[in-house]
Amino acid sequence: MRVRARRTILGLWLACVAASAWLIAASLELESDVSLFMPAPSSAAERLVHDTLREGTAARVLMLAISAPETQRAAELSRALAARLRDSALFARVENGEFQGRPTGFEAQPMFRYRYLLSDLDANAFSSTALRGALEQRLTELGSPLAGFYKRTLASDPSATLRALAARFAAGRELGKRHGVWFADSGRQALLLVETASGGFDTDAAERALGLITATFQSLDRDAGTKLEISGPGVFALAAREATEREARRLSIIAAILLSVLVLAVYRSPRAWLMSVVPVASGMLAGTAALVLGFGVVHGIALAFGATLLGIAIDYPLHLFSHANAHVSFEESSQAIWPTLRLGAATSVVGFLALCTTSFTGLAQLGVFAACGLLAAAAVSRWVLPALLGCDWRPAYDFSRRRYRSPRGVAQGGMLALVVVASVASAGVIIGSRETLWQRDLAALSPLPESTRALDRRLRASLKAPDPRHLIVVDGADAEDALARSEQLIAGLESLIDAGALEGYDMAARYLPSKARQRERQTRLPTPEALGRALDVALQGLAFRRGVFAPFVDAVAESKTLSPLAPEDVAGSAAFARVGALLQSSPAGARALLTLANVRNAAAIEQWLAEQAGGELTLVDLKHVSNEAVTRFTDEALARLGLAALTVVVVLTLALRSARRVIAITLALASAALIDVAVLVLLGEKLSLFHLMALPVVFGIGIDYGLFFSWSAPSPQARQRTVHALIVCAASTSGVFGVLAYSELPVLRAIGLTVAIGVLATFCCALVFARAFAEAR
Amino acid sequence: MQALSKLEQAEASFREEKTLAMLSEPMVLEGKLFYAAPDRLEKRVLKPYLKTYRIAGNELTLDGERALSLNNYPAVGAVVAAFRATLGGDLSILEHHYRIALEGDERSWKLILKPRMQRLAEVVERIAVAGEVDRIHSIVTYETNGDQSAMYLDFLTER
Repeated sequence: MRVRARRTILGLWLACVAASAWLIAASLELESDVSLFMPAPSSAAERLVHDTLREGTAARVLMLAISAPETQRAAELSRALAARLRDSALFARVENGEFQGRPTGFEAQPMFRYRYLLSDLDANAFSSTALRGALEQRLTELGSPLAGFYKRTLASDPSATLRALAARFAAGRELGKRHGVWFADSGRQALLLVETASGGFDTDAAERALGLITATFQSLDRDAGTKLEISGPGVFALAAREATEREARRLSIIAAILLSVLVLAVYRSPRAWLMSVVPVASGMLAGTAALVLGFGVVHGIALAFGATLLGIAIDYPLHLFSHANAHVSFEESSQAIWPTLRLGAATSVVGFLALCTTSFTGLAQLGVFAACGLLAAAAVSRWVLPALLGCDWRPAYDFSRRRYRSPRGVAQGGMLALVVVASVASAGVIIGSRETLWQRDLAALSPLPESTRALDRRLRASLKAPDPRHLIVVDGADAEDALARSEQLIAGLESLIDAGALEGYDMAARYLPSKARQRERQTRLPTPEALGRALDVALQGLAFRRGVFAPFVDAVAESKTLSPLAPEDVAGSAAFARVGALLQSSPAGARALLTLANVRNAAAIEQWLAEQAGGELTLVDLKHVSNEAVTRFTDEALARLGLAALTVVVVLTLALRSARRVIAITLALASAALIDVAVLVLLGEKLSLFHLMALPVVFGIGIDYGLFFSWSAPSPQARQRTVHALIVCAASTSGVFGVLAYSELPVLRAIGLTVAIGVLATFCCALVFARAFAEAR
Repeated sequence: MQALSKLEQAEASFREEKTLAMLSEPMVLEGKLFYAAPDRLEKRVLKPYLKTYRIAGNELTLDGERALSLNNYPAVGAVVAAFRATLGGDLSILEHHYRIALEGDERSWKLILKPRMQRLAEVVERIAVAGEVDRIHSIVTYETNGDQSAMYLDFLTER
């Protein structure tokens, strides 16, 4: 190679590398939220899951549990931690059961001031009979150990309306306390609820919040034996990202070592080893730069997948090195196999481009990364490697000296028969298990270890904050409209509960009635005169002093004139926290969520809903919705794969103009895919979109092997070198992906297994079919 | 305090007079009080109505039905402790909840308990336990708002 051409090539390559590196360093934005890799919400239900639950209050809540050897210590830590966190701007709300207000300040609290508008009072609640009963009850309570406690509100609330209201608000969710702070039922852990100021799925914000919490806890004066546990959506998002990154890093190091050992062992040349890295690295740079250019925000998963797709790219330098020998220059030996190599690369690239024809960003990013990466890797292998190695590099080895005796005669026909039988049997296995073939459960695809999810379940149970599964969504023009519409559903829900269709429900209107309802209650409140008269009658013969209940009469009178309580009024209040979680307002309108507990008969609820409000309302099953999204993605991936396969066949036909070779390769790909999937099924794997996304890798490799096995080599030596190259490729790829198969993460495990098995299957199938169709000539 | 014997078990009839600002005349309760070491206390009101308050450990039951946990009401717990610890002669528990001052002598003494817990101190000004030699005869609670609750005990059996 002429020196000038060499310099030009190297210069160009370095310039591209520099440009890509700069582009990536300057503009790479990594997105690590799994949900964004999935299709954009399409149905109303999916949009609900996306908007409301991921951006809403529920997504921002973190659950904390403090364990300490003594209950007292845990309580102290709870108070100290809460105090510090409250000072930080990162948190909107920090609750640990501590009574926040002063005992004398509660009169100003909305729950107390508006108690007659918030409560569902009986029509006769203010009759003298009802009042008499209440007053007698209060007298008795004065004799109890709790007298001091009850006396505070007695004068202004003899009917104990506030108490009943508080009980209703807490219904079922009342947490036990020790030393004045929340504790789990077991009494061993202090519990806290923290709401972050920013969205729960913003992983960077989650990281900051969690970092602050753990740092604060560690800085508190503590002895050994104290522990802080945290869970929540923010934790999940972060844990998922960390688990994936950690595992990917660990495995790529192992894989890199394995690969290096193999390359060094086979080629015995450190320079060759170094050179083999160059195309792959260039490919990764090119792929990432293409994503930055094309998409702006790059998805971490696309990057991770893409990196594994470059398992095909490693083959290119390996082919070149296996063909190198002492007789001709590296440039010449490379040129001899370049057409085949080029075709393989081109076909794979076109195949990946077919993936880009989807609207699913995740899949499209994958396609772009792989296509650009492979193109770059091939180009670098062909032109930059020779330039880097120099004109005078001759390897010490010559792999044509090896004799790869291929089995002849009967044994050969036997192998073909074996492959055909295996393929048919595989097809049978797949068809036979088509019912249980697919993994539809999103939870099984989660990279989170079971321990993380178990902790979450435990904390939710302790905090009595279950994850909702069934929801009814009520949209309204504004908050008042949404609340009013939800109230209309109460009667129906109550009768459904009586019928056993569900166990309970929760709605914002339960805590904050619509203004219309509050006004209606106002009109039913007695006038001060009427109340005064009823009170006088009720007080006959009771030991209460005259005038003691003047505050009560005043309170009722005031309630008649209060302007109704609105969501804005209770926005920051801890007591009304559920309202914030269940009612969301925006300029476009308001949305009220009704969470249903323990739904036993979804069909009955759906039927009842269909009869309400003109059939606008639907029952949303969140698990169902998530799984639907997965199914859609899987179906789309399958469709794209089919298109890619078709494209590959077309390109091969056009390029090769040899029906036999095309058929040989196509059959090899098909049978390898069948065997691969069948083995996965037999191993007990449920196919997920991760397996599907690994199949293009198998195809790419299959094209490469198929082309080379069916290539009519110019010489027997070249033939032997080809076989050597293919064996090394198969060993390296199956080794690297075999390492991945041992990962605990479903993603990496799926890819590893699929490709490792696929490579071995492809090797055999490509070999067999190539021979079969060559011999028949 | 040594004079006060530690009771294992006791039964007393009581008369409680509650002088409350909101009542035109004092409320008088009569009934029986049962104590069993270390933390069982039962107040059985017989007049003017029937009601049984039972405290075992940290649980308060009202007429046999679980009403609440004293864990959630630490102030109430402190008041209950005043009764239980006095009867049981447990000085350390009393010290934990109250600052103790002793008046009088062995024959006729009075323990003045002032609450340490701020939330309780806002409501209860002091509790005066009075007795002779080794027997308690009254426990009077003085509240900050002027209310007063005086319990006079007449021990029937004690061990």
